[in-house]
Amino acid sequence: MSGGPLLFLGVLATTALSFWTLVIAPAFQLGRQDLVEAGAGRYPTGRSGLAQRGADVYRSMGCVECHTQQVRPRGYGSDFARGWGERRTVAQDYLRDRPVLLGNLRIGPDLANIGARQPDPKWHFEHLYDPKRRVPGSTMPAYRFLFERRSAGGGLPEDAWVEGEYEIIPTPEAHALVAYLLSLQSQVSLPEAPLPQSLTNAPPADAGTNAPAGDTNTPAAATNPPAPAK
Amino acid sequence: MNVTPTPSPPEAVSAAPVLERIPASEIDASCRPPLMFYFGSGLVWLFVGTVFWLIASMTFYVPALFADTSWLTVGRVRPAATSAIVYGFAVQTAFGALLWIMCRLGNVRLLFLPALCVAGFIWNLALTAGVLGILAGGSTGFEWFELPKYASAGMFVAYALIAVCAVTNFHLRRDRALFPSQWYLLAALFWFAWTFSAAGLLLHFAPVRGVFQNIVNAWYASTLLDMWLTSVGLAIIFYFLPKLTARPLYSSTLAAFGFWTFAAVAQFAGMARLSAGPVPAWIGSVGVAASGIMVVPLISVAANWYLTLGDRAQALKQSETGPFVWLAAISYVVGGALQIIFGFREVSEITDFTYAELARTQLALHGFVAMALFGGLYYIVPRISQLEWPAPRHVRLHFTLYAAGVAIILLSLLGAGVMQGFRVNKGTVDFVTATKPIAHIAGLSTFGVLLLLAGQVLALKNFFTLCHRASEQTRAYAIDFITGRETVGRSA
Repeated sequence: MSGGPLLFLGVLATTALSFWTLVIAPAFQLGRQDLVEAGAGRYPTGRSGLAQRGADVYRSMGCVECHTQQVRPRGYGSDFARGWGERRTVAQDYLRDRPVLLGNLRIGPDLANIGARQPDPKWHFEHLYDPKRRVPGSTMPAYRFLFERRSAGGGLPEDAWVEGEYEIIPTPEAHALVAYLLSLQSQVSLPEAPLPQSLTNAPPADAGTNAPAGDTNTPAAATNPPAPAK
Repeated sequence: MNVTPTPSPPEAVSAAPVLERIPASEIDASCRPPLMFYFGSGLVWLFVGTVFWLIASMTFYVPALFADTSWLTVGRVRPAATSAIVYGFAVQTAFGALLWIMCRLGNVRLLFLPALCVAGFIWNLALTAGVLGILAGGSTGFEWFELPKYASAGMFVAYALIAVCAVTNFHLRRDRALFPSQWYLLAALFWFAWTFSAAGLLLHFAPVRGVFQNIVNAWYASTLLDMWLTSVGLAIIFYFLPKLTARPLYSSTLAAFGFWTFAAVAQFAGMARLSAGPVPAWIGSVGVAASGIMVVPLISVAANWYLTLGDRAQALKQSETGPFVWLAAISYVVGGALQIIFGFREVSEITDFTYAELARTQLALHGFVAMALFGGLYYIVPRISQLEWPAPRHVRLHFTLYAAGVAIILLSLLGAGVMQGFRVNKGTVDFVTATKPIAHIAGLSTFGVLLLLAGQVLALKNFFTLCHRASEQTRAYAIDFITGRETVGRSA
């Protein structure tokens, strides 16, 4: 091979090809996407201000390092058998997220539908404070810095609990994070990803975060209060 | 124009009708200031990043270890470690190796030293701010693009400066013929500029909506590792393999074939990991097809090396650089094969989202890229500083520790990943029960990280002892010069 110009043009051409295929073409395809009428209103529904702030906490804590937020198609892996979702997730589900934290490592379970699988805020607060308390054997790090510890006495705020002689009070960040986790649900039937006919939107009553649907013998599920019916 | 600190008279570079060859030692000396800076700060970043990595993996043994410190929570320490190792060590050391190889092959002195040094300062300053930003909660959440906006912007300025200097320097080369290493390096300069600016624009400054972000992110991350860093690694191997064995490259045509297939296909191969994700299905399919085709450049490059090496494998062991280059070449072939295997849908159904993917990345980053860079560094530094390594035995020890460390990390993560694939991705056992034994196997990689750290300590000690000697020598010269004593050539 001789000459820099030829080399430069060749490299330019290959890069332009990949840029057009992988950046410009998807931009045309996905750029037209907009909210759709599905379920109770326009989907995806917006998050509350608190949950939106929680999304920021989720990003800044790097939860994406260990948790995905995507359910793979039926028949591909056992995401459905684990009860991680009732349909696969599609591009429409993430239209409002910024950044979209799909994740690429599942050291912990998938969280695409954690709000539906575990709708109890109290469970989330205790789990964040000390994961082993709710999920024995969990390898998740504890997030005690999201809580304030102070001597017992005085009125106990909502969502706080007493541990020994201390009160454990969630900080605003913890409240925001849990509000975000509860908002994570992609259970609306879409034309490109319909919900199975036989199933409803309601989560299985006994779904612990780590438990496959229907298994009542896991420790996580055993300590759960029954999920309120939707 | 002549900015070398060597005592030889400046040559009339452009006036001479027939260009004389510049002696190698003079080219080496001209590279000294920016390269020593890049290599030194690269080694420090590697150490810092590996310490972060160690902290992150310790959290898996004791989950409550840093429960009261938001700065050291695993979700922040891991991206900080990645950023420090990738941008602080790999990319920065690659700048140094790239400039030196380009100067040597083009038979031209390194120019623009002040600009290159300033660019190095900006790069390290922006990166420091970015890593502290991640620890304070400023991570963007995008894989391999976690550094906050302000850091990326500063690093882009530094990169643009380095790239412009490198390309201009290349343009002024005296040896016009191009060697395969130069193809890879020039293309690498171009690829990084394009993808880094496009990713910054589309993820930070004019953010796109929805999963389009993830497509851009996947394109960027795969270009950074599988094209940019891989190109520099390949350039180093293509440069040193013929040099150390004193044999010509087996086939230039084969190399060209490997290069162009690599350039055309590698950028698409990274999309294979999106194949079951919530993105348009054709993107994943393009990725799967491309990652299959990657077997063509992989085989042509590997065959070229193998035929160049011939029966001269022993010659590699004679030098300090040889073993590193040899292991880098093997890691490239193994890592490339793993990437192709993981691309098949039947396999990715199992290996997606597992430690197996991480094993492939760590092999590419530490087994291939870092090994090649160390090989280059151990060859280049003594020549540009004109000093011997203070402890040559530590170079060998560094190689042994690194080889063992990378092997342990690869095997433990691969084992854990395959197990994770069958128990979590395919199986339906309760999640905690399924992951318990996997965490133990993956935890073994901590021993590998410790070995890497030990190797880095040796490299740091060697490098900074050499720097200390160089500065003592300079001071001795300065004193002699001021006092008027003519003792040029005395050693410190």
